[in-house]
Amino acid sequence: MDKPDTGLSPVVKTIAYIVAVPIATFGFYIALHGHLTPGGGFAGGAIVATITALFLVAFGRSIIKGLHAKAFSSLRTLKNIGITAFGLLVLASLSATFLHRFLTSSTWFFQASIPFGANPGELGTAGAIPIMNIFVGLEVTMGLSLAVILLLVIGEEKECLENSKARKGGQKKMSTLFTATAKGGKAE
Amino acid sequence: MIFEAIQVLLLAGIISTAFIALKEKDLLVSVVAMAAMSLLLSAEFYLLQAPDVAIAEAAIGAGLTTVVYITAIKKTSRWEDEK
Repeated sequence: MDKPDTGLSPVVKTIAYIVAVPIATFGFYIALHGHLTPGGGFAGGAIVATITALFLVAFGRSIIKGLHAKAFSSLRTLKNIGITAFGLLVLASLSATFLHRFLTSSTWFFQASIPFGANPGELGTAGAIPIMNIFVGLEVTMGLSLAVILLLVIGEEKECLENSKARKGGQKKMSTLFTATAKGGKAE
Repeated sequence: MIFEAIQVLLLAGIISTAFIALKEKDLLVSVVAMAAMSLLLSAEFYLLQAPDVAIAEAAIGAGLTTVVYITAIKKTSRWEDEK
């Protein structure tokens, strides 16, 4: 294909915009209610990462062309923040540390007492588990989005990533690199 | 009774879509059949009282895996026999 990949028809693009909001809401719900209902951080993060995949299919490579090269490193940074915070929370929840007392006995966040008897489930309970679910959801969202984006990018625009790594956060748009590689290399 | 009937229908759907995914020469049709199989499989998981697995299967099997395969088809060829 010689012409640039601009994605599918306008109908698909509009529906992708409309559908992304309920998908994100459902993913956040699944991740945030992980201690009450089926699901959890991983399932919610995978659902939110589906939005990235949907946009990549609907818009083609044109959505990546507008991205700065820094976007990749920020995705990776968010993923690392998520997994590091999860590990630190696991360590902090051990009963020998100071943070255990903070996480379990304060009334700060998600520490409401569980009501007695049959109840539909209170959101603000379960202590550190919802916080862990939030961070796992962040990590899985960013990791799977990065995997899908890299799958689309890699092979044709491998030089982009190397260049962005060498430039250390340069402000140059990736689109120039994309067009350069598309003209120089084989377009098919 | 209705429970068994629904399960038989779901299992028949899973087997037929898996067969289509295996035998089809058009790889795009094959991928769509596999997404349908994943969706039916998640419904079957839900019927078997495993909603957690059902959510993960629907999100990953029908969502992300399809996109990964479609991207791979986009990068290679759509037909199985093509060189």
